[in-house]
Amino acid sequence: MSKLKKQFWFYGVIPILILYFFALHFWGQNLTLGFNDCLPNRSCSDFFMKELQRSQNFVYIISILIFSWTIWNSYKVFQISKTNQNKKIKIISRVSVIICPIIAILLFPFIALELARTPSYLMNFYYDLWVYILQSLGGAPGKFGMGYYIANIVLFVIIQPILILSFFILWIKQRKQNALIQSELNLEDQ
Amino acid sequence: MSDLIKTFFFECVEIMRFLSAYTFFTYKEINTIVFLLIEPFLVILFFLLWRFEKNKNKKLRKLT
Repeated sequence: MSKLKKQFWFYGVIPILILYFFALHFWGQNLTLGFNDCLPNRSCSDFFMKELQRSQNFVYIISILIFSWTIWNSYKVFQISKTNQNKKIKIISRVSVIICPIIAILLFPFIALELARTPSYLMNFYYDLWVYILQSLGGAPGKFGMGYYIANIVLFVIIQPILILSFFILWIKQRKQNALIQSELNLEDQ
Repeated sequence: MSDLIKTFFFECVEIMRFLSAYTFFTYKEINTIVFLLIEPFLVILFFLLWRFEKNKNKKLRKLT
């Protein structure tokens, strides 16, 4: 994979999209809280004002993060694409790091409000599906018995974290081994 | 034993409820994000990274 592709997709599009999703959520919550009637009447409870303040803090942090990441990514893409021989790829990558964020910013308030208004049907469906699978694994479909608790703990609290840790350790070990071989090869070349 | 499992399960539920209240997600949403999206994503990501390094290792060994 070329350096430009790696920068564009792995350090650009994927993390920025994830941040964009979270920004949409926090902005949506903030906008719905901000439209409350108690604000112009100045009759909001302390709890409500605290919640509003907390949601605003989230909004500020994630906005700063997403803006700085996008600017850094655009700068890096421009810098790396300087050496790229393929003109088509050079133009597409440079244009997309400018145009796509602008489109995303323009659409942002509409998507944020829409997401905050409508319940996430897809997520609820996905959650309910997994609840049913876990109940079936536990031996009693449709019931929250001991089997469901055990299946839940074993799968999500034991197996998945063990898998994450073991693959992470394997990856780091292999990387170190490769770096060692690479340095040996470099020494031989010299 | 069953009490221990139940207690542990409901402690985990409490942690998720706290997280959901703190981040303005619903309980179902935070559960889906953490256990059904982030955890499987990390498993697949580290597995792929490990396989990538393993293949790289094979190529490097051929060179030596």
